[in-house]
Parts: sequence; structure tokens; C-alpha cells
Amino acid sequence: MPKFDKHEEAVMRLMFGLADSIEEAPAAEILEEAEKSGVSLLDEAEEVRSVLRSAGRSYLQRKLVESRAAYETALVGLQKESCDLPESAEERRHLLQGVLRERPQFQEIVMTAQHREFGELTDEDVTSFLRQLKILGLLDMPASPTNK
Amino acid sequence: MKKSAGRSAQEVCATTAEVMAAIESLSAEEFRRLKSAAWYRIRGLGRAARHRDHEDLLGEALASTLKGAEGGPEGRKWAKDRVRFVKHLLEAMRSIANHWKESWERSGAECEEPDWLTAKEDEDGNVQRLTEQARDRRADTHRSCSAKELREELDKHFAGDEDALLVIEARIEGMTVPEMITGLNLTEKKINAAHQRIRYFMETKGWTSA
Repeated sequence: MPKFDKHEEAVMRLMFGLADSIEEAPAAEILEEAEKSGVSLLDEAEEVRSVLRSAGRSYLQRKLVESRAAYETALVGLQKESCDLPESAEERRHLLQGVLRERPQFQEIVMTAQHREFGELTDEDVTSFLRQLKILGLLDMPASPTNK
Repeated sequence: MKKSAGRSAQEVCATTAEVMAAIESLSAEEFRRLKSAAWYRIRGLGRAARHRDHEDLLGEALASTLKGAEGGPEGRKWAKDRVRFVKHLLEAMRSIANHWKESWERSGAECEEPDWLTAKEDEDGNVQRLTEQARDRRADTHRSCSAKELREELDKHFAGDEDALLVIEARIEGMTVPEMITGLNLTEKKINAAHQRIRYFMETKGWTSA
């Protein structure tokens, strides 16, 4: 296992101690030191600000890539789910109709969400509702259309 | 705004947008404080920094804060109503530096695996074994010499400055300012002035940019 030797250990404690002293020092002391060392506070502020901005941007970009990957995985999952639904639009409409007949409590949700009558729902609406019901485990009916 | 799961149910943790906005609100003095503290932590880490510099430490402190802003258990949460942003970042850097040191100390474990399991070929087909690499690392005494050299330079430079020598030794012993006040019979003013002289020496001699 790697270990510091006694000099490294001593320097680490001293340097960490000096970092602590920087944290505790009054603002006037920090400004006085910068002036004494000939440091341009404005240049330094810009430099550190850009380090922080860039670290923030990198982090957010990484999160975006991760979110996009998760979204695409979820999308693939949803597409797989849809394979279990009837193939034709008419069959899907019959299936949703059957579900709503069996479970009238869903009727209100479907109609409220779309603000229209059942007959006005597009196939996209119908497929979307069936898919959501299936994912939620509420489509406990055979995936094949009923002839009711 | 999100409420932290830890500490207090009332504590409000900053959101991602609030963290990003806080960067723009830092003053020049706070930027200087952040950079200097990051320098000293990296200089103290020496080999354990594994070629990371003060910008990496600053970046890690921010990334960890953004992670904390997501509301999950990971990352460092900035309790924006209780702690100033600069103070939060300074504490995050302190904690990350300690973590890097511990992780470096644990990193030798892979050398305990048999060579045949870990040996790899480089681009030229030469077999590289971890045990050999570890030996190479031990042979690299540059950092250690540099640490010894720094101590000698400090002793030489502050030979006639008793307060500074006491503060150096006290810091090496891990003492805090209140402990120095009671243990070394120094006033806070004298301790702060000694710290300033030591920091000025470090900066003018270029030790902080190592």
C-alpha cells in the first residue's frame, strides 16, 4: 500500500493547515496578500470563474447524455410493449372500447385527457392509452381484440 | 428548491440553477480564496494528487455540488440559507482532498494480485507487470525530495522568526488556531500574521504552483 514518508506527511499537514488558514482569513488579509504578490484580482477571478463554469457545463452535458440514453432505452422498451397490441387500428379501437366497457372508471380519464368523444380519438391516442394501461398493469385483458 | 434528507427537514438545498447562478455572484476576493485553498490542498497531496491540479479540485467540488442539487443521496448539498457558497466549496474541496488521499493509500491493493492476472502488453508488445510499475513509482522520489527540500527552505527562511516556526510546527502536528492560542501562548493576531508570512513565502518562491 502506498504511504507518505515523514517529509511528505509533514508537508501535507502544513499545506492543509495553510489551506485552512486561507479559509479562515479575513477578506482584507486576502486582498492585501494579492496586492503584495502583484496578482491581478480581476484576471484571477476570470480564470477561476471560467474553471467553475466549464466544470458546470461538463457536468450538465454529461447528465444530458445520460438522460438521453435513459430516454432512448425507455423508448425502446415502450416500442417493445406496443408489439403486444393488436396489429390493426380497428382491432386496437375495439380493444380500448372493450376495456372502457369493462372498466367505466377509465372512460372519464381517457375522455378528460383528450377533451373529446371516443369516436373522435385518433389511432395514435388509442395506441398511447393502451400502451400506458399495459405498462401500468391495468390492461389485464387479452391483447387480441374482443368481438363484443 | 429542495429539502435535504439529512440534517434538518427545514434545510433548503440549492437547485442546479441556483448553484450555477452562485458562481456568477462570487467576488474577486472569494475567487482568490478558492484558488489559493485549492493550490495548498493539491500541494499537500503531492503524489496522492495523481497528476490532478487545483483546477481539477475546484471542478470536482462544483460537480459534486451539482450532483447534490439533484436531490438524491449522492453529492454534496449546498444548504444555501445557512452556508455561503464560497464556504461550501472550500469545505467540499477539503473533503475531496482527504478522500483522494485515502483512496491513493488504498490503491496499492491491486499489486497484491498475481502478475499473471494483471500483466498487460503495451503497444510494442512489451509485457508490463503491476509489481514492476509499483517499484517504478517507489523509485520516483522526486515528490519526497521536494517535500524534504521545502521543509529545509522553510526552516532556513524563518530561522529568525520564532512565531512562524512555531506555527509551522503546530500545523505539522495538526493543531488548529484555538489550540495554538492555548498551547503555544500566541495571540490570534500573531498566529494570523505568521500564517500570512508563510503564505507569502510560499507564493513568492513559487511553491504553490508546483
